[in-house]
Amino acid sequence: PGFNFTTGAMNMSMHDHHNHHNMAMPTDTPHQTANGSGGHGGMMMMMQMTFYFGHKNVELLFPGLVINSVGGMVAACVVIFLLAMLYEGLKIGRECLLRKSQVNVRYNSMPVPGPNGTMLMETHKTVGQQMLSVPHIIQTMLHILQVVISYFLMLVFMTYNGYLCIAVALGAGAGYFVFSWKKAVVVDITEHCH
Amino acid sequence: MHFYVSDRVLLLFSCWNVHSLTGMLLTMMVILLIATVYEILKVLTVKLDKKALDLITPTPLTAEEVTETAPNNSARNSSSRQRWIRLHSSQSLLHIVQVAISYLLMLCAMSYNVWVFLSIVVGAGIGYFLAYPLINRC
Repeated sequence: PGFNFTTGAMNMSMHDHHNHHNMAMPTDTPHQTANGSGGHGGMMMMMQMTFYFGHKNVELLFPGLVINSVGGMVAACVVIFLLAMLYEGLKIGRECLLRKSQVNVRYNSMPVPGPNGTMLMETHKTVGQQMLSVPHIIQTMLHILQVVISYFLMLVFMTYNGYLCIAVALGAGAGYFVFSWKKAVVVDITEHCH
Repeated sequence: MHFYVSDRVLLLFSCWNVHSLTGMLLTMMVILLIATVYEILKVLTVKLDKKALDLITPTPLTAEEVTETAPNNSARNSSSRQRWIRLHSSQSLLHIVQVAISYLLMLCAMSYNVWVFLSIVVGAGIGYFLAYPLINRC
């Protein structure tokens, strides 16, 4: 019993398909304790575990956010599409920013003519990766934002709602289409600078 | 399913059942640590990838050596091949660990507990903040 991966949500679905799954299934006791002490047994009931298409009673991330109409579903799809695009943009934008800051550092350290060559080399290498520098702090903030968005997208996908999943996938595709073109240009620029 | 604020949560294993404030604090610490380690591993992977790329792409110096000393070069080739195999297997191992941790973190996030989610996010921030400059320096 030490190896049952069971979130409260997973437990429910396992219970539903109890008859079909005869693999290493725990007995019903962990499921009952999960619902009893978790205090959220009621909301777990809505958890879908297979893909479906529908726009009724779709709960999205936050307590008040329940989709119940076609318009609501369309709005949610648009927002999630944009969020997925933003995620792709953030990924590529961070890469650009990193490259740019490294190029800047290289230029900054260039005009410093050290009395001996070794000194110059060392400043060259360390300045770019200082922990308490503005570019790195910005990078960290963007990284946190990226992690939050990626988990949100994951949780949206985990609603198993077909429309929302398609919105996530299309958003990722569109984001890559829009932003990766810029990435290629930036790569080109840095290569010219070399 | 939506986010909720509570000190009660069931995470991953049936034995990891949190139902008190101290338990939640402890859980948050553990998850913070796991998320931090995950970020450090990610940066380490990038570093290893760079190293592997350096090994694969031959320097212009070796091209000259090919014409000059053939036996020396073959010996060098085999040693570099061995190094590549070692590097590649450690990369694969790292990848396995990374995938495992990322799935565990994902399952933790799926608990929809706000505190758990926050500790994952903050851990990712701390890990990136510390690991990126430290690992790239050496």
